[in-house]
Amino acid sequence: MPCQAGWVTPAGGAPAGTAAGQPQRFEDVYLQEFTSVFALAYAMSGSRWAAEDITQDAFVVAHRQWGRVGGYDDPGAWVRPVAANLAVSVVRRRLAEARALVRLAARTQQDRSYAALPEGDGDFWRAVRRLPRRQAQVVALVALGDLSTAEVAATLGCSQRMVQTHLQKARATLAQRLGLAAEGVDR
Amino acid sequence: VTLDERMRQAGESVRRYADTEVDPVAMLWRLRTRQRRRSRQTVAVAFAVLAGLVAAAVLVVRTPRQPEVLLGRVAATIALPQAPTPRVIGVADGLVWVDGGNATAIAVDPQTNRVARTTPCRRGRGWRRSSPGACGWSTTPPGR
Repeated sequence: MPCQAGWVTPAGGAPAGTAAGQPQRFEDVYLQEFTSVFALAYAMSGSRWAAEDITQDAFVVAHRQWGRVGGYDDPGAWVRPVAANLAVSVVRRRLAEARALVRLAARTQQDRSYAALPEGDGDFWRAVRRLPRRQAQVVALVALGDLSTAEVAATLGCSQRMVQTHLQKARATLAQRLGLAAEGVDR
Repeated sequence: VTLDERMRQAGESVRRYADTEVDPVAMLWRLRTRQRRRSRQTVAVAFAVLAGLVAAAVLVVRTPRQPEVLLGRVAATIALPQAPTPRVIGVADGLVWVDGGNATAIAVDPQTNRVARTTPCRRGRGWRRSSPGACGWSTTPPGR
């Protein structure tokens, strides 16, 4: 299964569920899945504002096809790779950031300052974002979703072996860049 | 600290950030607003495009088609064997009317450079043709 391009087909990440039952309500799925999708977008983009826009874009894409996506057992598994793809696209990320800047410029006093990630965690995600796209996606899904390689492979629509390869390379690179011991076994 | 521990810790940190710093309900409301705005924009753009197309079509239809004017050179030479002494008497209805000199008025279509119509005039001399009423006069009693 091809897993090199850095882009995944959302359908590949969709669970085997079919539209046999009643489709779930978009609002319910949105509220349930928002945090995990946002976390993924935030980890991969490094910008809160870009992450917000990327998350919204991913849900907009899902909403357009809700007749099909809403019938899946886990529509969130369909949305996450869409967000991961949007986040690794430099052009999309820049567009999202630009839109966010425009939105921010319109805000006034109700603005508040948002917390940032702790220093060490911020360094870790910066190092992840410097990885090749697919490696970054694999690491983000593993770290955020606590997923096994099989689950990551199902989400990204590629083979477990490919996921293991990407994870192995990513771990080696990250360990070197962060000066950490690359211990641990691939799940 | 191993890489696995750092990875776990970084993952938890981002999840905590997403849990505490972003309100999904507010974001859903914003998404709905954005969708409504986008729908309105789509309708407005579609309407503007449609209006532009209609305006362009009206312009094309209503613009009178003038025969090409070529100054300084002969545009076409049309043989009129039925008119031994042809004389142009006017342009009307997009046709060039020629007094054939033998009691006939010949209409030449400048688009095709061919005779479009030949109209007999009993004592026709000095024809004039109105535009666009398709009525003809002559200085002598009317030929038709």
